[in-house]
Amino acid sequence: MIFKIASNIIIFIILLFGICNISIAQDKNEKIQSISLGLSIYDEIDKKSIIEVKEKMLKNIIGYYKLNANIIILDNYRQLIDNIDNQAEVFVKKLIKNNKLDYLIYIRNRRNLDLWFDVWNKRGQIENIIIPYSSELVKFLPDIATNSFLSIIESMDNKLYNNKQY
Amino acid sequence: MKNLFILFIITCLSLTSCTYNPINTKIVKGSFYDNIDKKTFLSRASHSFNLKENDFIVAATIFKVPQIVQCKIPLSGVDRILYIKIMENQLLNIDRHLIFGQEYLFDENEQELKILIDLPVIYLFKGTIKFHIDILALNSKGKYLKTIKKTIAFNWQPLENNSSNGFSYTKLSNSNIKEKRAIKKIVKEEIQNCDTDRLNKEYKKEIEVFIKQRQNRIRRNDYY
Repeated sequence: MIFKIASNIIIFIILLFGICNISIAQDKNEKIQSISLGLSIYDEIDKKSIIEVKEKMLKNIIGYYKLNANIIILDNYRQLIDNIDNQAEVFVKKLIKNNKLDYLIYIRNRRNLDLWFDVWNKRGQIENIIIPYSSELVKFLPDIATNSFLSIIESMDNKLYNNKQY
Repeated sequence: MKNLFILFIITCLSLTSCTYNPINTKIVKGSFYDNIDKKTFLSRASHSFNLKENDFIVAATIFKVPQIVQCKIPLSGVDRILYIKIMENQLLNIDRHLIFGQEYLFDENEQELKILIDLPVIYLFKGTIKFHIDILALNSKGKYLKTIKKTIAFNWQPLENNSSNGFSYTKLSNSNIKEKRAIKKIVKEEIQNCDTDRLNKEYKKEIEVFIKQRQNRIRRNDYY
């Protein structure tokens, strides 16, 4: 009787490890199917621009890469305006986790001196492109933002170019 | 009961070890433009050609496809490229942003923009394709914008190797090259990696007819 129970337990454990290993293998080999972005802005950015950025980002990702994409527009987070510190990192990680995001993308206009295009990933890494501000830039903002965000996302995780579609 | 408890502990430990995934908490604050691998970027192109700064339209002859071509465009007085868009509105209906570091680089010292253009066979199925390039650049003083427009046409002129040492070539027409088995294989692979909904309907149909063409009509010669 004891022998039978022991053998059943061993079989169960073997099966359990097998299932775990299969799920790990699937994770490693899984192709990237979708990309989830949270888009936010600093107050001084025109609200219409953010809609345009969203549309252009979606068009560029879904249309030209083997990826699905969804973008949610988030609130304006003042915690992210001034300093990139540990507090900001904790805040961003929580934000990314709660909204099930892959990236938080953020446009900041710093007192009309420069424009910051920030990208945070799930690992709490941040990369940005900073451009000197000029009034001329405003009408090109959606395209500049789209190009900056796509380029940063690619440089961080190589998710786009490897999934390119003709 | 004791066995069940042991089993429960083992199960918990197994699941914990399988799902534990530590998060890297380090903030990386790097200079974006310095982190690009220029060598890998440059090595991807198999052919390159130079444009003059004032050229608005240029045409280049391509002998082998598929390939990635590097276009070098001198841009004086430019500090930074803010975006580059590539467009084609006749056959492919492409209108997208190029990615910095993968598809373009700007060398500030040489004042030269390098763009990589991917040319699969399905882009040159009619022999010629014309891309419009829109560039927005920031000038050296960092306050003024410069819009630059270029049109680059690629003309595919296939060559056939007619000797064993590989030095004798014969020009082929685009229709002749389509008789080659190797081309059909490449087109089949490329079309699977293409968003065909975007293609011009007639152009798409032409490619589909070519793919469905009976094998015995295709000769066994190699192409160059």
